[in-house]
Amino acid sequence: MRTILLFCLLPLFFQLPAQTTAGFENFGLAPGAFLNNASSGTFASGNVALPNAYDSVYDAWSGWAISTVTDTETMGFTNQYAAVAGRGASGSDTYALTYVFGGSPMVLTGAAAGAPVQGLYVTNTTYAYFSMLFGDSFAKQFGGETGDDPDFFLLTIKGFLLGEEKADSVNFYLADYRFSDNAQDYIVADWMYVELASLGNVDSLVFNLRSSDNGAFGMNTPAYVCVDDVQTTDTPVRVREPALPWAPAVFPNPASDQVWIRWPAKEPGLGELSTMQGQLLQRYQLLAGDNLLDISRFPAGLYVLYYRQDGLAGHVLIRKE
Amino acid sequence: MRKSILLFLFCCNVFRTFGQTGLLDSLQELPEVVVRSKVQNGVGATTITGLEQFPSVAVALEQSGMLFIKSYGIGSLATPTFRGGAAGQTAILWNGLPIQSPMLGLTDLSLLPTIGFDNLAAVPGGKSAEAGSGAVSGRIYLSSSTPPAGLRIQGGSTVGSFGYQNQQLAISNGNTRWRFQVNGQLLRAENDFPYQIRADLPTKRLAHAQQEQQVLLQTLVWEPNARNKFELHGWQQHTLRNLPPTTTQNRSEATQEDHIYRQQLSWHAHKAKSYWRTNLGFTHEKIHYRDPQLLVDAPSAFSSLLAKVVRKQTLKPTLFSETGLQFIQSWATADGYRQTQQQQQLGWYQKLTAELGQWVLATTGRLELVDFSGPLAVFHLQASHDFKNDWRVEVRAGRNFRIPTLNDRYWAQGGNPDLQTEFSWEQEIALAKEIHASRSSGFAKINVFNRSVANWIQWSQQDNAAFWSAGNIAKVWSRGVEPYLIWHYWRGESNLKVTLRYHFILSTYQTAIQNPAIARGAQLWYTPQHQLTTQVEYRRKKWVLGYTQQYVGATEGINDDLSDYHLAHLTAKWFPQWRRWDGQFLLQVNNLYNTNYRVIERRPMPGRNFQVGIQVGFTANEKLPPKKTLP
Repeated sequence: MRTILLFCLLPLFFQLPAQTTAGFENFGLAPGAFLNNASSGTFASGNVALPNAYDSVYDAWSGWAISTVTDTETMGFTNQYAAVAGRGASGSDTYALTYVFGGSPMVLTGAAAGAPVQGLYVTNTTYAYFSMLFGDSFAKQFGGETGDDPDFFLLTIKGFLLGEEKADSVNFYLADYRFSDNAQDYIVADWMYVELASLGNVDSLVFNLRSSDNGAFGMNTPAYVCVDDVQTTDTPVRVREPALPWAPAVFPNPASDQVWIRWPAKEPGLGELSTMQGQLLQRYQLLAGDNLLDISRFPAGLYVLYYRQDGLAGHVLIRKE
Repeated sequence: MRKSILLFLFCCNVFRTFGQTGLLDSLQELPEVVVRSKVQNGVGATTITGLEQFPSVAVALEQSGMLFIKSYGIGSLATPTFRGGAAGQTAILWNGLPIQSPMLGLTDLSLLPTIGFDNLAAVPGGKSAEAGSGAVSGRIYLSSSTPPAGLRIQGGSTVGSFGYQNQQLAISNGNTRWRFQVNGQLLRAENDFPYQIRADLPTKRLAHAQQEQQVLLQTLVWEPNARNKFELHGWQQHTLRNLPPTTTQNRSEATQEDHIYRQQLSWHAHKAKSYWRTNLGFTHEKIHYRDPQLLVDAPSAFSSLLAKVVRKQTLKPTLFSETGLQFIQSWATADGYRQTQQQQQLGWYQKLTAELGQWVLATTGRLELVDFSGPLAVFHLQASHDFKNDWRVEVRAGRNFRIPTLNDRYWAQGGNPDLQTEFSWEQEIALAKEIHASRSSGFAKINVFNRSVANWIQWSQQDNAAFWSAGNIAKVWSRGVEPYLIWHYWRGESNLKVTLRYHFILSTYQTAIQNPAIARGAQLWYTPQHQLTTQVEYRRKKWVLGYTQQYVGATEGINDDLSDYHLAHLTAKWFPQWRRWDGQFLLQVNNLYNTNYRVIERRPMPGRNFQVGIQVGFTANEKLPPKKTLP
């Protein structure tokens, strides 16, 4: 009887944080389709927001895309939206992928902002997979001319909280040819789980890719990675800075040259404008009323404005056009 | 004569099936000429002879050592590098009209055939004032053969390693008023040469490198009188190439198909104190790149309408004038363009040449309108002085230009319609000496040049953009020294010729670029600092033996550094004659010492390889065609 009572009381003492999984199925994509143009500038699923930029003049995109493409055979960039696993993680249809240029950020939203990310699934795109397996006109076949080159394709996930980079990061080899026994060399071709809880509380993640195949024009290996089932928690393990109960109005957003921040409190606050990769660009003192931020000198893209007052904090995304 | 014209027209019509028929070779011994440093040709101008023994102009230029050829392998893309310049900074002219693609700004030298041309000249140094856009670092001149009077048929075949087969046929006929010449070539090669990555690793064989090429060049000449001559030139070509994988690529299924149609009509008019040359040209080129593996099917095409009028006049016995007007209208289509793109170039130049005693002075000025805006202004000054004892000094200076290509301006994405024209300042001084002895003669020259190119167009990732775009972001400084020596020795029927040619070239970026990673002061990719070519040729009666030794210094590539290398080539030729028949037997050994080398990283080059050829000529007249002899 005591045992049953103890079992019933345990949840009261050890409340497990709620988890939300971003599986990207909410976009309702038909099979074999993709989205590379987010009208709001981000793709939102679960408690994550994936920045995206689309250039209608050139029909070009950067940041993140959402896909249900299942082509695991076609090599080359014409098949850039396909995961080599042929579907999403855990047999789902939809997944996200990013073209990594200088770091691809993933922003945590809602209750997940400032809380740990338990983990996520990653795999290679078909494009990158075959480029590493067979080589192409730009990139080398992993192993090189002799088969012995210690090649690698490394995903590094960094955590950020309030614009500060976490001390730890998580590495995952999407391909690893560094083994002395070539039989152990591998290229990831299925969804693999990456544990991220060790990063602690974060409000954004940044994905970086590094390859052993580089030239003067940068990394030759196609800089893509697919992501699915991002498991976020809704309760911070330890809140360093409790959230402000209100948020300042930001307008216009998107903006081209200037942004107004309407600070509702009488006491001034501190504002910090950062890139999505966590690089601090400028600090501001936010006074009661409307504050003008000049963002004309920054390139187009997504930025984060962190604001603090009396030990409370919050952040808002600003899109520069 | 009517039959001749009909034959000419017939050949035009059968071109489509030309590649299916077996053609005989046409080989003609071209005159052995060393164009000494004439002011009008620039310092160090040289002409390549015996062109037909080479599979392409690229190989002929490569072995001449006159410039550096960036070769991706036999039968693959080959582009010129004069004095550390970019490929697009070399003007390539066929009978005076440019043939560079307005889309790419360059011509693939491996596509240029070696039949039907009398003359191939490679001239270092810029001269946009006369040659127009692109003549920044050098010029390559191709001149069509002038058909001789009387019936002549030449044919032959060359076969070689790696499935190389080159059949050529030339027919010419006519009289002093009407003459025609038709040259045909059928070239096939497997190019499946073996190569080694490292001495301790097994030999691999290059796959998917086959090429097929059919070429038809035609010339029709009409000289109604001594003062007027009309020439109609046709150049039709089809080349299909499989693009081999790199050494770090498992396989390739990519192909490239080129269709080339070039037509040219020229009128030469001689008057009492003037000479007029009018050229009308039309070019249509189609490139079709396919890669079934990548599901890429990328056709592109351009057409150009060219017109050029040149008037040369003798103002005084020692004062000469040359005036030129050139118009080029180009249209281009590609999947990378949103619509058909056009470009207009209208150029006018004026040149004055004065002979003042031992001095020859020349000045040229040019105005160019691009898309009817501008004008751009460039000039060229040159002076030479002949001293006693056959010493000669030449000085040149000029401003040259290259307009952005259509790809640079309009390619989606990254094309930049606001690109500026590249401009260069170049100065050059040369000292030359002729030496004459009873049984020998020599010519030595040393050039020193200095060139700075501003607005250099470089594709890069700018302003943190995720894509590459073209920008005038670089400045490049090129300078160098080019000694040149040729020595003839003859005794009886024997003749020995030794040629030495060396290039020391520094061509460095004067601005640092983040991506691509270029440091300030870095040498341009694939640009050797040192290049040395030694050629020894021995002639006795109807035999010619030739040996070429080349050294190319180490270069830096986009992905890897490339080691220096030595190459050697051996040639033996025999020219028998029997009444109306003449012939040539050829044995060529390329890469004699089987050097394992790369010009571009990850692109293997062939080891030792052989070519054997036979050519036979028949002249209907009792009198044989004039034989070319050494100067």
